[in-house]
Amino acid sequence: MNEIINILLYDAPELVLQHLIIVTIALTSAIFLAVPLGVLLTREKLKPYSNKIIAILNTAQGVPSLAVIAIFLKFLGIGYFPSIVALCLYGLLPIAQNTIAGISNIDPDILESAKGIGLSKNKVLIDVELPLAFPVIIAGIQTSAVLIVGTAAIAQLIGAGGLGKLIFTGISQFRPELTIIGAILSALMAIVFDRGLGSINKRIEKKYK
Amino acid sequence: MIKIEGVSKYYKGMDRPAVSKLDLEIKEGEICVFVGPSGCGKTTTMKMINRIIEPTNGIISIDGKNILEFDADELRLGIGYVIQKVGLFPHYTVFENIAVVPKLKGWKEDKVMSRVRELLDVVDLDPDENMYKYPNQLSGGQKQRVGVARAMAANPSVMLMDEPFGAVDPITRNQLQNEFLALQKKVKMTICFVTHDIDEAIKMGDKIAIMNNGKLVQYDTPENILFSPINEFVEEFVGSDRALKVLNLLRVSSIMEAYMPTIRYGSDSSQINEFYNNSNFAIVLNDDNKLQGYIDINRIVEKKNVEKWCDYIRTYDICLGIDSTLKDAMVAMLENDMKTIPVLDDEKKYIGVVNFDMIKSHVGREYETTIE
Repeated sequence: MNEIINILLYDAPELVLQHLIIVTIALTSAIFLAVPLGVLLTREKLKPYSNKIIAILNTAQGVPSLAVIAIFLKFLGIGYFPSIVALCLYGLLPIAQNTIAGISNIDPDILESAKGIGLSKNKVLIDVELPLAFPVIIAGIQTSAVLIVGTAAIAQLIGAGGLGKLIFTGISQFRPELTIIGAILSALMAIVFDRGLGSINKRIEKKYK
Repeated sequence: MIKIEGVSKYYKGMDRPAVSKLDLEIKEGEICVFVGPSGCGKTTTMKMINRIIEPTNGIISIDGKNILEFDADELRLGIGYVIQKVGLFPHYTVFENIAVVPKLKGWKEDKVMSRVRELLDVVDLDPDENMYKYPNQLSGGQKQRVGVARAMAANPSVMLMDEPFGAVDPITRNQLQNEFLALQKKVKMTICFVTHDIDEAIKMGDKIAIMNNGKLVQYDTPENILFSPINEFVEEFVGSDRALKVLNLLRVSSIMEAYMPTIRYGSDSSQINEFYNNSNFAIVLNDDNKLQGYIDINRIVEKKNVEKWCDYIRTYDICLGIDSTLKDAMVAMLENDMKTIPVLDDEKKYIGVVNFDMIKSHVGREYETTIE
């Protein structure tokens, strides 16, 4: 029991922080890449290709996370940076997909009237499409966040640090309590991300839905 | 003024053009209603005016200027646009929805605010009560009103309306139509109005453009459409109940008469005896000409209680506005079992009455003169 408390007091905080940093950087970069990508794929010129591109991303998502990490090991070596790149790419799809879904499900009458009263294409995107798709995009970010928090533990294999360190140390040293603590903390973090992002949506829903 | 010259629209994969060599002119301050069966090209025509759809060939000009000379967004900012499903922005309040165009045009904040309040008053919505509501908190009719207010926000001289009153119940529709006509009388916009409902076309239009298969069949006043249809298609489209449709065309303001004697509330009873020989009923008014009710003169005299005539006043259950159509009047008569209904002006002051005989003779006369 004492040992568990020691781990929680002395090792865990630093590892949680590390985990949090990796996840935050990877998730933020994923958002900044995936939302514009999703938007581009809903523009008139690219719309015909959006299904194909999403299909390719879908297939890529099918590659096991372990394999993705391993592939990045080959190209970028080990450490923080390759882990973040791998996690970011892994989190792209849900956000891009939801951005596309959110925008293409907007009532066409709203878009027609927006165009009809004189809003430029950019104005329509920024003032109408993105705000209306926002709840769906947030839902994508939720999915992606949970995915990244979980996968980040595996990224320890290429030296990411974080809660993966606890889990893998537990495995290699036959100390299941370490593995369990790592897993629980990682699960808690996933829940916090999920709830936190979900509360943003609830606030919007109260406003105009 | 909107001028459409030789305009056609071809879509890929269609064997006939959606709109074919259309020539038409909508005069300043007039409502031109495009009407026809679905697929006749009426909506396509309307959408070419604000370049939502680009014509394949031909020229459309507004006030003498080819619309292609404008930047498309710039052009649309100057044209009011109302569609059937309204298309209010659900994440904007009523205020924000109406303020979109004025803000884009760079109006100052206090000017936008006062304009929004003014417009909500114009479309008969209480500004304080409704300004900060979201569209989902409004009824269908209220949404439509906000839609009209949004389209009028920056004082456009041209307005495009695609079945603007199509999605509301018949009673609200009638009310919205009447209010809009009263409004148009004041602001005099040049309006292109699309509907599939010939009754609405007859009621709303200064001119009606009947279209079929992408072609203009007849472009004329509602009277001529009703009584001088150019061919069988128009005749059929108008329907066999033309006499009833005329009711939608005529307003009570054109036939009402002030033939009934009026008496001021509380005034001397000597007047009653004067009326006795000439009329059975008299209208009772307040000092500011507001309607109080009516009295049955014979009855008062019979009861030998002329001094206290004010006790015998009966009120009207229903009154008509000056812009009501004869159809409104007929409906009111039938529903309330009344032969005579008073007409009030915009300030609710009494100006005359309509009765069934007046409607009958007027419709008959209209029928004859136009057919000759």
